[in-house]
This record gives sequence, C-alpha cells and structure tokens, in this order.
Amino acid sequence: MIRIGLVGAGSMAGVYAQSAASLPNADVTAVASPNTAETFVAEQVPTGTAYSDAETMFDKAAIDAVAVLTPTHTHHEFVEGAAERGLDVICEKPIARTLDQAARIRTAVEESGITFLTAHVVRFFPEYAEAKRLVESGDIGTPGVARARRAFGIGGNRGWFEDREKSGGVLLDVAVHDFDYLRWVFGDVEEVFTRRTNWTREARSEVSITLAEFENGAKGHVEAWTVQVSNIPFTTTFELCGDKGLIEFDLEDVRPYVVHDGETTHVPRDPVGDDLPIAQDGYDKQLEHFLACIEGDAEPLIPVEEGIESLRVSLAAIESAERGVPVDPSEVNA
Amino acid sequence: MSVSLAILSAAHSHAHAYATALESVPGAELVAIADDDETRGESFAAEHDVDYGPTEDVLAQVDGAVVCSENTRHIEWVHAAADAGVDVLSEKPLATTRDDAQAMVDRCEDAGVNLGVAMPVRFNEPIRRAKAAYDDGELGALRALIGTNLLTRMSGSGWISNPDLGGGGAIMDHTVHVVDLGRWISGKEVTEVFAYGGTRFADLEVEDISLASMQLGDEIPFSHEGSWRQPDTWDFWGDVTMRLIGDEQVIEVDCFDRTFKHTHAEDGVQRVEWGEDMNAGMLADFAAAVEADRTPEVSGEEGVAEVRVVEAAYESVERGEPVTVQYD
Repeated sequence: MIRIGLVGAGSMAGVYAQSAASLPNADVTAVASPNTAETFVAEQVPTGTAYSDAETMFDKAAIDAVAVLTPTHTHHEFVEGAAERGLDVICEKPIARTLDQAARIRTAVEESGITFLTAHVVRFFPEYAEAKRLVESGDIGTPGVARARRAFGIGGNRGWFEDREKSGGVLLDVAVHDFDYLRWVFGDVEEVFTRRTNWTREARSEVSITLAEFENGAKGHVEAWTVQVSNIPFTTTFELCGDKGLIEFDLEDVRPYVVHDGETTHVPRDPVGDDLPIAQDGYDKQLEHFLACIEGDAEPLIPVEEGIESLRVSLAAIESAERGVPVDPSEVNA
Repeated sequence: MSVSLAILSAAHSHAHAYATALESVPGAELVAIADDDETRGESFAAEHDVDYGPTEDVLAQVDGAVVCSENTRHIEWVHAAADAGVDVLSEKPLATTRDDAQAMVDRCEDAGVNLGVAMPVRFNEPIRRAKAAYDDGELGALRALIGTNLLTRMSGSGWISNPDLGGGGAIMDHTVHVVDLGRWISGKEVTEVFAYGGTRFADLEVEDISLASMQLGDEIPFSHEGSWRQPDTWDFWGDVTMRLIGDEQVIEVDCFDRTFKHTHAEDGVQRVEWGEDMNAGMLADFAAAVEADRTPEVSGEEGVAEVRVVEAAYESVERGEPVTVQYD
C-alpha cells in the first residue's frame, strides 16, 4: 500500500482521491491546505488527516508519496519540500510557471533521487493513447498535420487561473495538454506562432491559436480557449493526418450512454472524474502508472525533462503572442 | 496466485481475441491449446506462444478451459473438460439445442466443475451503468427494451453458416447476446418470441436476417435485431445497442461508441475503439471464478434459458406466429 498526501484541496484533489480509491494499492492518508483541508477530508477521505500546511504534513503524516495539486506558480516549493524528505512526487501540469522554477524542481529531484511524474494526464486518456499507438505503428504513415482543440465555457470566477502571473493563462494551463501530447506523438516542436486575445479580466475569457512546426517538418494547429458562454461544454478534438491516413477524434461524437430524464438530456463524457462510462479513466491509469514507477515496475512516462520541454512550448507560445513573431521553444528564457 | 487456462479449439475467431485479452489479465495465464484441427492448433500455439497437445494432456495441465469450437461441438469439448474436472467457459451460444445445453449443465454438475457462458458484453461499462441506473431506481419501472447486435455480411462466412457446425444462421449466432442483456438487466425471462428470418444479403444456406419481437416476463416488450446485414465496408465490425424505456428516464446505450475515426488512404474509413476490453473483463471474472470455485458471471443454467429463446425464435420463423418459450 502506498500512502499518499495531497497538497491542495481544490477540484483536482477530489479527482485524485477518487482515483486512489479505485486502486487496490493506493490510500490517501493526508491532505494539506491552508483553509479547506478539514472540510475536504471530512467529505472525501474520512480516514485521512487534515493539515493546514504542507511542511507539517511532510514531517508528521504517515505518507510515502505526495501529489502536488496547488496553483502552478507554487509547484516548485512543494516539490522541493517533498524531495528533501525523500517523498515521491506526482506533480500537476504544467510542471511550473517559469523555467527557473522548473530548474529548481529538476535539481530537487536529481539530488534526492525521488520518483517524479509530471501529470500530463492526456497521455493516459485511452483515446489519445490509442491514437499514439496507431501513429507509432505506422497507421497514418508519415505525419503531416496535427490539429488539437481544447475549450470550455465557464460562467463565473476562475480564481487563480485568471491571474496570468500564477497560471500563465490558457496557453500554459490549457494548451499545454495538447502541446505535450503532440510532442509525444509527432516529436519535438521547433517553432510556434501564436495569436491570443482576451476581453475580460486577465485570463477569464481568453482565446489562443497556435501554429506549430515540428522538427520532422510536420505542422500543427492548437486551439485553446475559455469563454463566458457558460453552456459551451468541455470540448476536446484532435486530428492526426499523415500520407497514409487520418485519425479524427471529437469528444462530442462519444455517445455510448445518453440519459433523458424529463428535464435534460445528459451525455456523460467529461474525462475528469467518473463521468465518462469507462472502466478505468485517464486519471486512474495515471495514478496507477505513478505507483508502478514507485514500485520499480515502470519508468516515469513524463519525467522532469519532459515536463520542462512541454512548458517550453507554452512559454514560447506566450512569448510569440506578446512579440508577434515566431519563437523557437529551445530559445525561450522565461 | 495464477490460474492456468487452456483454449479448447480455435475454430472461433474469438480464440485469438481471448488469447490477446488474457495478456492483460493479472492472475491468469494461457498455457495451452487443444484442437481437433492439428494445423489450426499448432499455428495458434505458435502465434500465442502456448503448448499444443492432445486434449487429455492439455486438460491435465490447467485449472480452467475456454471452449471456442464450432457451435455444435461445444458439447464435446465441455464434456471433455468436465470429465477431466476442469472448470469451463463455453463460447456462446452454449449449445444449438436445449437438450444439448441441458446435458452440458448436468454433466458439469455431476462432475463438480463450474460452467459458464462467454457473454463479454456484460463487462462493457456503458451497459453496466445502464443496469446500475435501473437497479438504483433512477430509470423507474422498466417499460420496454430495444436492442441490436448488427454485424457485417461477411460475419456469415465460414463454418458459422454451415448448419451442421453453426447450427443455424444469424438467429443462432447472435440472438443470445442481446437476450442475455435483456434477461440480466430486467431480471426476467423471455416468455414469448415472434421472429423473422430470411436470406437477403449473402449467398447462404442459412438466414442472414434476424429480427425478434419478444416479451420479458408478463408485460415488457423487448425487440432485437442481429442480422448479418451491414455492408462489409461499414466503419466498425458490429454494434451492440440497447434502449431502455422507463417511466422516469430513457437511457440509450451504444456499447462501442467510444471510438475515433481512422481513414486509411487506400482502405477507407474504420472507427477504432478505445474503451476497456470487455473480453479481458470477462476472462478476469472466469479466472476469479476458477480460483474461488464459484460460478462464472453467466452460468450454464442461464445459457440453457437463452438457447430456449433461440429455439423458440426458429420455431416462430417456421410457424409464422408467436411462440411461448418452454421452461418445462
């Protein structure tokens, strides 16, 4: 049994607690958060212990590993604290807000020798994983163009996500999923050109469109946005086109289970939480993989360096949007 | 612990699917195959890296066996397993006549081995969610069920449409899947069947149309189509759908609609499924049943009930009128 302490008690903490409950060898035994740990523990992990700060949890709780689920700009502090005590870490994406913070994470992981996984969960979503497998086995031939979209409507306050200094806005918080996935499938990104607009406070309503060129010559189009049109459902799509074939996925087309109840028609397919009818969702598979890495049965699919490379693409896109020129991710210095 | 398993006959293409699925089932290992066709058995053994040998030897080295033979020969293989004291999971339908099916249940009971029927769709998450919605009362009273298990025309090629081996056509081949789901979800038996057959799509001795209008219990209308009618260029191998009409909710399940579209530059469009592997779920249950000495998810008795429905469907096609299903 691997005992896990959650740092953060927001929405992701609920998702991790659910995934841990679905696995035979995981147990969430502690949760740290300045204000809401006690409420979270009472509602979601009644056998766990609540702490108001992470350092105390690292020192006192009976834990073997830590999930860092805090606002992006704070990831490095908690990874450092956990690494100092030899606690293995799964860290929410993006790995950090800046390259300096990411470098601190790399140093902490290297010096402590802990197991570290960047939680780019999309690599564990079965539809994305299956498409990767097909591309790798040559089913689309030589990659030519990739498109990916990730978008949702949200009515109210998005909290710290709205603050670009903390979250990086949609390019770092949302588009980074697809940057990471497309790097995994098509290879390294050599250049991005991004347009970005927002028309409310900071990053509450924000649209980004990124063109990308991969090292192998393939091109990409990545669209990420959040708008205040609240009834826009959470949408993800991708197209992977090569000379021998095309793969097209649209979450809107996934309709294995539809419920009409007199007031609404519900099509459960949100990949977050236990909504999508599938035996094991991406978050379950990701946590299972992290545990296998701890037990020495697997190597982390997304180690620190991979997390940093995907961060670089987002930072390059942000720089491109600000300067109006194409940017090479390897030359970013943010 | 590890449960060692054998496949008995690779006549049915599911043998390969099960061998592949077993690679991802913890605690179960496919170790051998027996087959009355030596060439087929040896080629299967080489492909899946398992032993091929005489049936007795194979049964002597395993805890459980999965029968993937031609339909009319399930009985021979199940009896061989029973006589060797090996728990057995039979490909569906359990048999092509209720007499055979009942004889298999009796033989296994006498031998003290557990008998199950391979009904993988029970391990599909969307259909499990529908059953849970009914069991938890969300659907309300179940008023009607409409199901399909449509297949491509080429599904009828090979022994499956040879009456001596397949025991029938599309009605024999696939009625039991959806009948099993209907019985499982409702907890009721099929009491009456009116069915149509017919041969319209391929040059076959047997029917490629399978349409049935049934009644579950005293009052629930339940229909099924399992025709081999989709053009072979269809974008998926087949479907399983079920519409549950309740007085609180209507739930529509399309079991395999967790796919993306794959267009081949030369071969056209295929949908690729990325949902969980229901065969792996079924085989994990069988391995667990062997380990715990319990009945697998779908028992031999349930298999007999389903064969009775198939027999009634054929009788209805013959007589052109609704037929009461005999449960003796």
